Amino acid sequence: MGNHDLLKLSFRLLVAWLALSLIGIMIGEQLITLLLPFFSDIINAMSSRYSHALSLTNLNGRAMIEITARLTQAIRATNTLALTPGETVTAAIDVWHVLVPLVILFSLLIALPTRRARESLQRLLLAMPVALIILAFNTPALLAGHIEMQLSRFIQNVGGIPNDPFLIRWVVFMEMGGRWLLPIVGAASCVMMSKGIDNLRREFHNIGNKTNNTDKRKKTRKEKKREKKDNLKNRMAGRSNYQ
Amino acid sequence: MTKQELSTDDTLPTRDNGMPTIRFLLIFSGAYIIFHILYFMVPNDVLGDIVYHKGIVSIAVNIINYCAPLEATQAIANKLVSTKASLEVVRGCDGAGATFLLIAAILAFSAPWKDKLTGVVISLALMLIINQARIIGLYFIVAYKRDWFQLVHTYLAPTFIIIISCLFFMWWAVRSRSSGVTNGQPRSA
Repeated sequence: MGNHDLLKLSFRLLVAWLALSLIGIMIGEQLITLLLPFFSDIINAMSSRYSHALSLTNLNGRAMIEITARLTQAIRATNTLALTPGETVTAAIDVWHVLVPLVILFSLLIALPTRRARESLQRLLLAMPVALIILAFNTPALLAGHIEMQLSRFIQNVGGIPNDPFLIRWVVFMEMGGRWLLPIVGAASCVMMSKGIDNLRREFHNIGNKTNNTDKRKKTRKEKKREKKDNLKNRMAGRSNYQ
Repeated sequence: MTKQELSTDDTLPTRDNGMPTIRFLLIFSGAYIIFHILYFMVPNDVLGDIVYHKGIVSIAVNIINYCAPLEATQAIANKLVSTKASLEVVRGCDGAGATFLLIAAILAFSAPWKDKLTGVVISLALMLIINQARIIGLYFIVAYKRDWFQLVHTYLAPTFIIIISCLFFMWWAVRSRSSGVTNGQPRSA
């Protein structure tokens, strides 16, 4: 790859980032609304301590995903104090926040060079499930993690010792740079899978070619035999005519 | 060679079993996780009072006061304060995440150690400059366009920094590969 190609790649990446950021600003909220049931299912699978409802709200002009968790079991804070079932805890995260990994994933996939338009399409199709996996690791954990943080804070405020669930550590990891790491790894995986599919297609194609070539050889042999027979017949016929 | 065979060989990519990519991704992710763990071993006080105060906030204050003296900003511990705005630099606002990612990618890439060292040094400098620009930009946004803060802080700035990091990595990787080829050094893929 020369300087010219690098410049082209850089330009494409910046344009892709700009375009996708604008698309995110324009239709981000609608996209997140569609994904809310998906996030809700994952949160249900993650925690049995509460039931929850997700909604898209506007907080001081900011579009937020709000989670309202209703405790289904008592959570003991100290020997004498506990949160009783039915109590609600709310938390919210910014919609922009959810879009960050998607913008990074698709910017990289759009910008990385391909040999054919079909390869680009292949990558983008592969990116759909990868994007869902990335979101599944990010947003529901973040929402549930915020609920866990509030519960821990409550326990700490009343003098109890909160346990340190893995979820909170995961949220911190994702907030630091994990939500950037996942789309980069995701984009590289899509490119790799796309190459893998191409290799398979290539192998199938080669097998097909070999079969075709073998058929050709058989045909030529048959033809040769037929030619020999015909020649022999002709000679015999010629001799008999001569005789 | 038949016409069909020629077209297939020319257009399809060369065979790649993906192992170098898997190796790169594993080392890249592993190195990032190690940096993350080490970063969280640094106490908050050390980061806030020393690293952020001297390394980020004081420098930002000097730059802002030099370029816009009327702002009269002050560095108070990890806070950038003026009459118009107050911006607090906390763990995660220091550009550490993006820097760790970039350094992890450089370390994971198959290149001579000399190139890796150069890449790490340049990426550290680049990330410091970009983060400083981000902090100064955010200060002016809080002071004059508060409505834009969330959009820039949580959406545009992080994605832009990652895109710039990816670009720098690509440039470095291509340069490193081409210098290896011109020097005649064998490279494992």
